[in-house]
Amino acid sequence: MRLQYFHSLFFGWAALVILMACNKGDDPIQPNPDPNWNPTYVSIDQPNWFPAMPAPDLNPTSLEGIALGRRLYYDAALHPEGSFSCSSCHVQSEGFTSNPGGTAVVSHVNLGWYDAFLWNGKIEGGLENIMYFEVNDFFQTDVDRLSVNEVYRGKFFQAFGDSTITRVACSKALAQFVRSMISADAHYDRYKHGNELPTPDEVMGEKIFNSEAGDCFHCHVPPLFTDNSFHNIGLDSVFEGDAVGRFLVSGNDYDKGAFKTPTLRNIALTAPYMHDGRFQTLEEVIDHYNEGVHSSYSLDPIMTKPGKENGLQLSETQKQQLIAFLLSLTDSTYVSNESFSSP
Amino acid sequence: MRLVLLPYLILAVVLFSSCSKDEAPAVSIPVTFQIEHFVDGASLALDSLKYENAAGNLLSISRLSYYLSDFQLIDEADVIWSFPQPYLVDHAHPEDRMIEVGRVPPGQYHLRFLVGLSPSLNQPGSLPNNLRNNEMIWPTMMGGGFHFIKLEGHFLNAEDKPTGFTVHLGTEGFTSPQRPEEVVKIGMDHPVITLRMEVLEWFDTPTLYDLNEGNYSMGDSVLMRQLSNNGRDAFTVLP
Ligand code: HEC
Ligand code: HEC
Repeated sequence: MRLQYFHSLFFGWAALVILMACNKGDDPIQPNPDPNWNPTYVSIDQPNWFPAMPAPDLNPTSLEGIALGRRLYYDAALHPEGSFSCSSCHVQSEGFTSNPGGTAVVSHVNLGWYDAFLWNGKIEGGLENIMYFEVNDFFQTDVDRLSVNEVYRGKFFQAFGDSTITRVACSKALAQFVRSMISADAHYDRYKHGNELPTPDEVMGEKIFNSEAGDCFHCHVPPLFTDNSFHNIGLDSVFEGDAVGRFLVSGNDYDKGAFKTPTLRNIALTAPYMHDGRFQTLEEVIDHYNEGVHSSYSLDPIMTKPGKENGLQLSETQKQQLIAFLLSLTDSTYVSNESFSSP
Repeated sequence: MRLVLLPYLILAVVLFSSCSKDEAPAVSIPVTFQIEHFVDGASLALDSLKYENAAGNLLSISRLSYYLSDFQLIDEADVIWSFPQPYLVDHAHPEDRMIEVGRVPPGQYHLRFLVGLSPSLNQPGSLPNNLRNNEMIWPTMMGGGFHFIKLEGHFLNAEDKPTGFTVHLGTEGFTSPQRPEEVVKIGMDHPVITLRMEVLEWFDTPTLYDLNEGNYSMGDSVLMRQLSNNGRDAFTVLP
């Protein structure tokens, strides 16, 4: 017991020495922290079969930051007129999306691994960047509205050592909360890494997904089921207005009609599908990949296989197997996890 | 009880290695490669339909990413200096194009390396589990390991219609060993060695590769054989 205590002491000290030895300059977060500020820093618990999550540079995660972010996510006070909160459109039971019409609402799951956000990826960087966009550009949060609330000022102090509420602080808190929203407990994860068994259809569906028969894996890369990149999958052959997609950001002709690869985690819960919500069911999505691919010069190279110009030509059975596999990606513990629900 | 000391050992190693950089013999010189991707005597420009391969396909390139591994420098006494570790190079990540593989004494060497991963590296879980390696995974059901190269783009097909092509290589036997003829000089006055890939070499010698006959190589062992052989002379060492 004693020895253990000594160990932790010694190692705490040794770690400090190493950090100090190699650290140049002062703590960028808080040059002169208030002595009463005592946040509980935590490292985010990520499943060991996921690729390492990029660490945020200037926004270390704390329990207080996550709690504040969660509160803001569910609070219409973040909106200048109090009209809605993030959770009005990003609804937990629907995998943090919903169907208000128009541009499809992007689900919130495993966003800590992304480096570009929104369907055309116009916000690049980490979660802090997209959250600043949401708070500053989309909601145009009125910080005075939050500041009148003494409780909020206290929570901002606990999270950041400063009770002044700013849009930057709001976005940092939201980023911490959303970074903690990890889904890795679907039936798929349990049969891959736990002790559940896949059904024969799921096994066959996964084979189609991960082989040239379906060739989904090149873009929907397991285990996150996205490649953080942009592709034109042949939904259309002419592109106008917002339908030009990534082209709006890059100006590259080959990005016309390209959109960010959405994750397929919780896909059964996140209808309608595609950036414009054109498909209501997974059957329609699979039919698109199977026989509805429109060619154009910017069609992604992965989508053109010899003899399969309009699609994959899977049989009815194979289509059902592929859907069975997609359904195995639903994580019911994630959409009912109280740590992510309204506080 | 023994185990209790293990952390101290690790600590000692960390302390020694973290801030010191001169364990190697003083005479050794870092071997640093600057990688270039060239087409027709100029740097590769992504996404412009202006290149023509030997078979006459007009094409553009949208993606070029690949692994290099198994560097060997063979000195004049035929001693082999081996640096097996892998490097992922993506044209869209300019920082990937400067790699330091290790240190050797100054002198003249012959160079060998692989485009792709040697069999011991090409195993599930053998590379660090980060986003970039994850994206290169070659699914287990197709043989496992990682893509050795993804060379993707568009070309005008036989009907003059724009079409995509994907040169994907992976699995054992489809690496492209490089043995540039040029001698590599390593010395204080030669801090960086330029390795140049002629991108269109993948479509030429020994097989004239027409994209109309194979625009999608993954899983097709005939196409993968032709392409991996064609790629063997992709790199040259610049004087
Ligand atoms: C009125 C509905 C609505 C509300 C309210 C809303 N969102 Fe969204 N959200 C969307 C839509 C629609 C998109 C996709 C927009 C696009 O890509 O152009 C989106 C996209 C996002 C994305 C991008 C995800 C990705 O993977 O690219 C994030 C992050 C996000 N919202 C966070 C928030 C936050 C934080 C709030 C609260 C401050 C919020 N949203 C409030 C509808 C909404
Ligand atoms: C070339 C890359 C690529 C390939 C291959 C690919 N997808 Fe997609 N997938 C995308 C992109 C990009 C979108 C979004 C397209 C849009 O909205 O314009 C998408 C959308 C989807 C959606 C709707 C997701 C949502 O949230 O709206 C599903 C489901 C889907 N794909 C399943 C599959 C399946 C199954 C396969 C294999 C048969 C597959 N995809 C192959 C890139 C790809």
